[in-house]
Amino acid sequence: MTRIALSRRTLLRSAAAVSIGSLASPAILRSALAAEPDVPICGAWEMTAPGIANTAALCDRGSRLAVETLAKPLGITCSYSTIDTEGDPGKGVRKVAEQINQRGGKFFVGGASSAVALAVSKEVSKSGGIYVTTGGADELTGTECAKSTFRWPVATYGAVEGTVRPLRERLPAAKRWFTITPKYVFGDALLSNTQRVLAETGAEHVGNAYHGLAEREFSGYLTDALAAKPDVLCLHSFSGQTIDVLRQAAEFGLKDKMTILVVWSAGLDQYRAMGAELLDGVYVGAQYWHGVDAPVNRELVTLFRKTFNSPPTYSEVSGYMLARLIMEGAAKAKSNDPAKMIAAMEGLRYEGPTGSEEIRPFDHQCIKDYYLLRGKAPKAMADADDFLEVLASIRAFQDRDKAGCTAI
Amino acid sequence: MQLLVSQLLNGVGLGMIYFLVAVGLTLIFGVMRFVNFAHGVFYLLGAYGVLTLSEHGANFFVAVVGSIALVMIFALVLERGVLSRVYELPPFFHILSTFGVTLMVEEAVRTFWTAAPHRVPTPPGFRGLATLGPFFYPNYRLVVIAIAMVCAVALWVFLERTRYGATIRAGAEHRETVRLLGIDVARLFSFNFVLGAGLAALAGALVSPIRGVDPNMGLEALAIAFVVCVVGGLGSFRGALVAALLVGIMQSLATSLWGSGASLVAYLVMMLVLLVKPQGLFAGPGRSTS
Amino acid sequence: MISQLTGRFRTVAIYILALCCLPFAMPSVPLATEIVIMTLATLSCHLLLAYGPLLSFGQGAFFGIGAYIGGLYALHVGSSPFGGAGTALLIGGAGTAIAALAVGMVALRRIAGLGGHGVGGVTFLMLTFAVAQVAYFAAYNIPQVTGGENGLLNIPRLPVGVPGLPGLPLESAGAFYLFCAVVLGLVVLLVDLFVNSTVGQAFRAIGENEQRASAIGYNVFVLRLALFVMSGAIAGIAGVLYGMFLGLVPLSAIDLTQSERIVIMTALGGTGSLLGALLGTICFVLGSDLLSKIWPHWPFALGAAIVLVVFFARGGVLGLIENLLRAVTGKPSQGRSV
Repeated sequence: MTRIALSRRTLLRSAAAVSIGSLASPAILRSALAAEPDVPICGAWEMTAPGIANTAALCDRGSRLAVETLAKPLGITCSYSTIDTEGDPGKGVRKVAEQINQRGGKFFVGGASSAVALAVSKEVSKSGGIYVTTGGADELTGTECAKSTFRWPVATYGAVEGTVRPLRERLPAAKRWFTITPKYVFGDALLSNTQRVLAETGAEHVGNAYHGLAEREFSGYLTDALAAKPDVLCLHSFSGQTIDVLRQAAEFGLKDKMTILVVWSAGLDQYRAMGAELLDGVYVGAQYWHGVDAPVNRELVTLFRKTFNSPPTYSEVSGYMLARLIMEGAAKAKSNDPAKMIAAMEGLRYEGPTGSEEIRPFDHQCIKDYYLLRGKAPKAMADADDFLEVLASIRAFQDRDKAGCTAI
Repeated sequence: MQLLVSQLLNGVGLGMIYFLVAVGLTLIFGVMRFVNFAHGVFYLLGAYGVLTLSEHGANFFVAVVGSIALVMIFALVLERGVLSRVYELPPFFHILSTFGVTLMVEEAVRTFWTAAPHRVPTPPGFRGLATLGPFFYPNYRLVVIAIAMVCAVALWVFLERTRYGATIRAGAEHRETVRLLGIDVARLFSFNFVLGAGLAALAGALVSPIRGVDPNMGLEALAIAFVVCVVGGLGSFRGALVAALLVGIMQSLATSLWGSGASLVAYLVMMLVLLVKPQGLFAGPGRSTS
Repeated sequence: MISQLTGRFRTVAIYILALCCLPFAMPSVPLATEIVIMTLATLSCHLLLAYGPLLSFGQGAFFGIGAYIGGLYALHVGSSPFGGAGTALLIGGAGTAIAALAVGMVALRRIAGLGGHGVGGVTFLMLTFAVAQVAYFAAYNIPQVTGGENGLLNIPRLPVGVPGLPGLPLESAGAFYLFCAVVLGLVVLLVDLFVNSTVGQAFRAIGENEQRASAIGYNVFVLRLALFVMSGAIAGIAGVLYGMFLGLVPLSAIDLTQSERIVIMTALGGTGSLLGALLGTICFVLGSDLLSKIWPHWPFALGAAIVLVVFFARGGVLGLIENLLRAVTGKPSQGRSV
């Protein structure tokens, strides 16, 4: 079994466990020391939802890997099961409620779909368990925050600060920005943040084209963009639509006429679907990149390459981190009592895939970096997955009074 | 001006694709009085066929032809084996059985190709932009428009100028008479069904480099096809063409005026037309209404 | 006379019996509750199909509209003296009925039913399909009202009672199930009375031969409109219950898949008698729940089941059960329409 050195703290703990264990017989020892907290984690993922099933499958496998590899070093027993939310918040809520009521479920991870994440967050908070989510909606640690809910990825504020601002600094002459935004609450959140940063950095927002949820045909919006003659085309689209907009933008020759920025990207699986030629020269914002040189990240990449023959995608890493945070909480609290674990998790500092990370106590949002990357020329790629180079790594979160979380 | 030209071209391109999908559906309904809820499946499989064949090294246009052929074979087997037994039942069962088929095929696609979207690269040689003075438009989209127009003309010639085409038109207007004339109705139906499927497959194959390939594209195509058929008048070739172009152009223009509502435009057009002409724009005189 | 009465209300009696057994027969009480709520939705589609005969692909829209109205009511008015689960149902049902009236006025003009082999039924289908799309679009485009894709959150589960007196709380799963079951029972009773009344007979006449019914003097349009409004209201009531059940109204309550699901449950159950709605819903909800645990590609089996229904069990599960009973008891068959 692969041994992972996650941090000095866990290394020392596992060394101590080894040395103590070798001195005395296990039975006597187990009664002398506190019993290992048992932390069964349930992953509520959108395994059969059209559109995000593959993302959810990746997240699920990341969570499972964390449970399998981290339990021993952390000194806890842990098991993992999966619930299929089918992408429907109604089904998700009912199944999670069943898990809570009939099987005593307390620890949940999930949220490839924000709508499901919000619903499950409410359900888990009713019963006083813990829910760590990868959902994108700001409200999860904002206006709809809860004592039982924690979130790993960065919200729209951080995503925009981590991409639009550094790009303005890199390309100060590129003042005319055109945005394409999906008409979603999430899309609007990205848009308002972008508009704010553009205003603060003296850029001109020359226009915005809204598009619908299931849109596949973007030629009209791209034509509008062309007509506005911007320096930068800023895309707020997400999931499957990002690929379509970008591809059609390339077809209409926009890559030669302007700089393109994708504020919110889904990770390596999405970059593979786009292809190196399409990504070449495009600026991309990301929650995670396997090429980042941080100690934990290097370990993670090695682990994933060994287990799955591929560097980790963002989805897998987020699933991994969600489970890891619960496990760290149990290990630090030396207990599987949710209240004690929550207290342990608030303010928890650890080495994560983006460097040193911590969980902010007042809204349970994880403070981590968001990356600005740029597509490499296909010839410059070191291997088939080396799509992007890191340009900036920024940590930006709203203050308490702006964040909107009052329930914790 | 570039904006208007681009939007019109987009609209025409969109409309021609809609036409290819819808014309099969309208002929199937017109001739066979069969409500084919599985029509989107042919569009879907046409696209996935191109994906698979080009992944195995086939040239794009060879892949398109190959994919269409495969889909037509599938349609024939489906029609002969399953759907022909449902014709005499009330329309509710047409809808239900073809809906069931759709679910099965879509799930099969999700199983074998995963639910992730895939891309089909634009055929080399047709990438890049065509320029005419200050105007430009992607080469490949122009090719799609051209191919679709050629097919529309060919189909029209077939329906209007050949004997078999006349039989189909006759079947659309007076099914019983056609039967009484001794024409092999079963063969007519099969031919009609497979033809419709092939056209839908062509549409799916052609759009695959533009919008990518994913398991949900069948439902999108079906929804639009039904709108176009209802607006144009079920059973009418002319209706399908006019309605498809109308919907395509309106949708394209809407992206500039009401971006988030563009996908709704088709339904609004449909509701407006139906308020004035419930049978559709080109419902023929010999059409029974109940 | 008693036997006539019990025979007359046999369907209702079976419903009541089933509702009593359901929470014990199902793996969990929330699952049983979901079945009850969806049975109401299925019933709305069933009525239209059996008596229209019209296939509506838009019942999900009315379900969703009811859910949002009920949810908004619970959020903003709920704690006032007039607040209460019962009032939420009435307001949700009434609001949805108005929406159904508006849609029906447009969709049912000069439309023939699905009985014949005509264009009309297909046009109605397409119009309701369009309504479903428009409703979904509207829902996610007014996030200030509906919460958009995040859903309408924090809906309280209002107590049920008479204004002025403290109401019965519905917080527990069991109490809420009972409430839903009572609502379903009442609706089934009302529908059963309607179906067996002279108005119901008028629909049978329309179903058999529309032109003749019209010639006799039945106003087909008005009758169908009334049926459509009633159906819409029932779907809306189901929606209100759904919002209360979850404590939120997700966008998925009003999307096309919701309408699709309702059609599938209607078809699976069979339209021979009102029991079809219950049977179809149980089959679908229970089946998909169990199947999704063991086979991730279960929609394939669902599609196959639907095709098999068309070939071998056109009366749906209800028809199968009736055939079985007939085979066992040896009674002669009764003619059944679609």
